[in-house]
Amino acid sequence: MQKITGRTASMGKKIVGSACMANGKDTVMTADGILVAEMTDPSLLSFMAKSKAVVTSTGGLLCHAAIVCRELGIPCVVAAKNVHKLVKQGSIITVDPADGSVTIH
Amino acid sequence: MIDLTQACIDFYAIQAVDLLNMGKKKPAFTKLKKDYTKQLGLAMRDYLVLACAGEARHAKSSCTRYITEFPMKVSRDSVWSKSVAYSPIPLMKLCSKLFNEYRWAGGYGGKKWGQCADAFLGYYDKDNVLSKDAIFVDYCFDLQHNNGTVFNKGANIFMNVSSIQSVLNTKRDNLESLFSCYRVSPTIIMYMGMFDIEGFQTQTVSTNNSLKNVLNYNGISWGTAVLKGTFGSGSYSPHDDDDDEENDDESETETEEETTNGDTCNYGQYSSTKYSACEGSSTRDNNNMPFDDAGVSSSVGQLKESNTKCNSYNRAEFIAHCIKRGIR
Repeated sequence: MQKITGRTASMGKKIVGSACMANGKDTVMTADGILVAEMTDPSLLSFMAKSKAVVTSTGGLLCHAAIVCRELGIPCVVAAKNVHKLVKQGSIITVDPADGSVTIH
Repeated sequence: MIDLTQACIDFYAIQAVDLLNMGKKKPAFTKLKKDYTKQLGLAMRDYLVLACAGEARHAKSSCTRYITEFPMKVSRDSVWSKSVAYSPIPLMKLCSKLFNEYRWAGGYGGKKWGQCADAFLGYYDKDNVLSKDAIFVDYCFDLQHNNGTVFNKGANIFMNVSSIQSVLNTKRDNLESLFSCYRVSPTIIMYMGMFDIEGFQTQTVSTNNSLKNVLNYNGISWGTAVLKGTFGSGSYSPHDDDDDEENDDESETETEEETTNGDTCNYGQYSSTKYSACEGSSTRDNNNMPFDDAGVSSSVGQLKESNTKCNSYNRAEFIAHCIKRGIR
């Protein structure tokens, strides 16, 4: 297991799910999907809405991901350094907004 | 007119304080955020319609198609004055089709303008996340046309638009940068202080204005005329026909002036009632700056008294507060 700590941008319950790597309009979301991205852009808006949680490697508390997730009530951790490089599509990860951590199982 | 750069700073300041309130939402602050964001979103939607209409006038000379009923080759001001007679959703559906589906030349129209029209339409689609006011506003701040921010076309809605990119770049770094580089409007700071945010000094401020007028924007009274979805052939003809897929196919089959059965858009999914939010007063006070420091509203949530505890404007204290809460 590997634990990365970022910043909580949107509160919520601890989420365990499978990582869905952001790939623009070709992103594949699963039912228990957690969107993982280096940073989000407008092409990911619809995928963010479908995800159980959102994790980004970069970005601040006022980035698109943070604002979208707060509005939609989705847990979000930003600035989890290199998370998009450490996680692969389908990896099981835990996102804990309480401490801003992302655990890769 | 709305100072867009200031509105951008204040919008993100409100978002930042919303973050401070995470988990203990205060109704009064929630209402401030909702009212401010809704009004800014309304101004942005009005602007997007005018801006897209202004761009669509170039279609006859710079696109393979143009909207036959729409004024072409006239000044931008003239297009704006005529556009307000139309119902904006059908107009923007046609603009979306025009920008996204047909070939454009000379730096006019095209996909980037299509994104602007689609953002507007997204707001009225309940299944689209852009139907949330804050997401819509955040999205719109980043909209670009072919040569810069979409908000630089005038239209007497926004002013001071040239600096928004630097605000967006700064807020991307961290909150401290935003608050140390830019000055949040005193009125917004006072509202923040009303809600007992830890770390502010409180003081008594007379309250006599309405919060909903914090931006002094009442919206354009759009007309109800529905523009027919009839496209004619523009004078632009692309040379590189080899890689021109879907558009050239249509060129072969359509006549120069199509009938309403040809390229007519279906407006059915947008009801007129959904657009009622934009059908307010046509009055726009172009002389008022967006923020009036003389007083703040007492009409927010539980704040009904004529005098309300409010905080003094102290930028350093606000930044310190952000840092204290671990938000950097």
